[in-house]
Amino acid sequence: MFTSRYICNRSKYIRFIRVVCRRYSLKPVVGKKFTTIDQVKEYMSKETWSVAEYLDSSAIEKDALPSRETALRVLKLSGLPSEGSDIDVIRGKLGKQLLLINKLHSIPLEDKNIDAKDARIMPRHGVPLTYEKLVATIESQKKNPETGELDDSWDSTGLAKLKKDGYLVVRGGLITNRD
Amino acid sequence: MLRVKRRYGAATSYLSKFTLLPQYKLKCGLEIHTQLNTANKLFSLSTNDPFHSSKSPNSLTSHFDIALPGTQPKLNYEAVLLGLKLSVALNCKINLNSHFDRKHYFYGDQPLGYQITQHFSPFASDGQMPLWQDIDDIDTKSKNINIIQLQIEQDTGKSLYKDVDKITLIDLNRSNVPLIEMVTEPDFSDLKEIRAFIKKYQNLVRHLDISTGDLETGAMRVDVNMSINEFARVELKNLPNTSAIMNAIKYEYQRQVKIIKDGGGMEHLSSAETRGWNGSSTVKLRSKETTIDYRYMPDPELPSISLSPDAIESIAKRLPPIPDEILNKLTHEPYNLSLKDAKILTISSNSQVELYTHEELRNYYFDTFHSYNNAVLKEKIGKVKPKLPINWIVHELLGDLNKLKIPLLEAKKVLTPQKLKDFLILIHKGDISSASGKLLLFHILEMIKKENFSSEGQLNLEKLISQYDLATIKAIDSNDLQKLCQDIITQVNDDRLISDIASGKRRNSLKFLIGQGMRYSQGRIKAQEFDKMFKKILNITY
Repeated sequence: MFTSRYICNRSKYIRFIRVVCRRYSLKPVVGKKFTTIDQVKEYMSKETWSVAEYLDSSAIEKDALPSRETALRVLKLSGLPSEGSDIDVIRGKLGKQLLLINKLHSIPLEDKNIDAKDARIMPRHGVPLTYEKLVATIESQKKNPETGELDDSWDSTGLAKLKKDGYLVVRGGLITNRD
Repeated sequence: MLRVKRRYGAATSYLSKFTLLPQYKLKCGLEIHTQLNTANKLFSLSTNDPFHSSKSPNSLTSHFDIALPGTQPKLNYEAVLLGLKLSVALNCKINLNSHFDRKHYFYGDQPLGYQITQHFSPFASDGQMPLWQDIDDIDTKSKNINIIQLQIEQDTGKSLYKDVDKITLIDLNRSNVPLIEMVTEPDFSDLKEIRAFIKKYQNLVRHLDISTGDLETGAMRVDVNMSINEFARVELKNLPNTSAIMNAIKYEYQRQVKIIKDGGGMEHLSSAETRGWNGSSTVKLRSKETTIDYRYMPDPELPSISLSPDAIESIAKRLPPIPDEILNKLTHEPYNLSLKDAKILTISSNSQVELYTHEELRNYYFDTFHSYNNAVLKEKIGKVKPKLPINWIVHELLGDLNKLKIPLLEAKKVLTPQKLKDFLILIHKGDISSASGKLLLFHILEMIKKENFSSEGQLNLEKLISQYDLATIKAIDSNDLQKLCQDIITQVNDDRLISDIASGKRRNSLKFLIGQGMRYSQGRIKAQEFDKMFKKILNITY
């Protein structure tokens, strides 16, 4: 038996689930939610499942792998080099990831009316803000020099290969109309 | 060139002849994005100054704003406070547990690859904004515009397209600036209502000091959803100012009416589409087939905004009266202002921001009004003239401040409401005439500017009146006045005019003679004295 938790996007909501499956080919089941951080820590400290079990390569062959063009486009979008890369290996890896995602999408959820607010590893128990607390929170907010929040404190274009007059540069091919 | 002009002329006249046709019912809703006036950005504390960019692009960017890997958003609660103010002012139901979601799409000025917004559980919903015939200039007595929701979200960076070089310059100073998106129900059925709503909403965000509300700078951006006779909705985007909004709606209405008239409604208007405005026509940007799947998901890095009901009550108590309430107050006892004058004290428009805010002006008026009223009653110097303070503040003082470019904040350090009250009392008692008063007021302001606003406590009205000999001459020597009036008649040198005034044929021209007298005496002799004397000299009996 293998147990895991994943974020699962089901049309309008996402939630954390506990996936229980005996074998990859068997139907996974959504388990109970965590309720305490100790449960999370205990769970994360143990190896309870194997990626290989989910990514059975024999299953991939049944699904078409992403095309070479798709793989190259994904590399480009991700800012990763394609030169010198073994595209077929990358296609295989992408295929496995898609398989995992498709698997997660296929998990049946019993409760169809889950609130998107519950898309958390554990339920939230935030303390509601009073007016005084809200004002005090605002007053206590301070710029953090370590995250570049001070004006002109660092060169945000410093690592860019292309820049012009302080602007970052996106080369042609960008859609000129966001809408 | 001529051809361009002719075509342009034709396009504008086409729009100016616009009328809504009763058999083609227009239905509109608005989506308005408003940049918030917070000191810092929404999910980092880098400075929120989106218009800083032309000087130094990308200088107000934290690691999160440019989406460096490993950075995380942290909510700036200033945006929550401003969101609460606007939601309360719009009578919304405030969500005590709203949260943020990710809206995914790729674009060069959005380095995260998604926008953080509130899709599933927005900040507030079910609000209203009433429009009134007298205040907002709409055709019906009143109209309630229902608000679907308000959501807090982040702005994107700014793209500057350099088509010649085939590059786009990206400035991320605007990236992560806080916005409120407000969405109305499709309650608008008339262009006047749309114009009135935009103006009113713009004034409200300025009044609450939530945003500059300027359309031209992009601090406020309006998208329009419209449909005719229940055909599919068309969304109009890229509308940079009020006239673009109005013209785009007119153009789109006429375009759709023509399609329906030609029998093409089912074919061309059965599915929703998004259109842009290019200055003269609407152009298709996106249709049902090319709709983007934003893959919304709750943002796992941000906590919910959890509010106690007390926070909302406290905001409601602290909120200043909304503009409609202020207008109502100003147009009733004891102020009894005309709606036009009341609006000057209440409605914010761009141009005045540098010299005064409406709150400053209104408070200055209230202080002066009450100070003047109390003084008249205390000194028992006749009836209160309720229009005196507003006439001098709005029609004289503001004009002088604009002419001399003096901020009200500086002027009132010397010309305090109490000093202006003293000035008004001099006018009230007739110690100085209106004409002399105008000269004196301008001189005082000029002096304040010359002395670099440092004359605090130094303003002595009596001394100035005496120095410049501005006091009304109360004990007029009858012979001197008669001589002055006769000189005026001689100088006019128009026997027929004088004869017509005397006979009553041209009664109104008597005022011309009185005006000449006022000019010669620099307003120091009252108009009534001239009136009496001219009538005596010319044997006028009317």
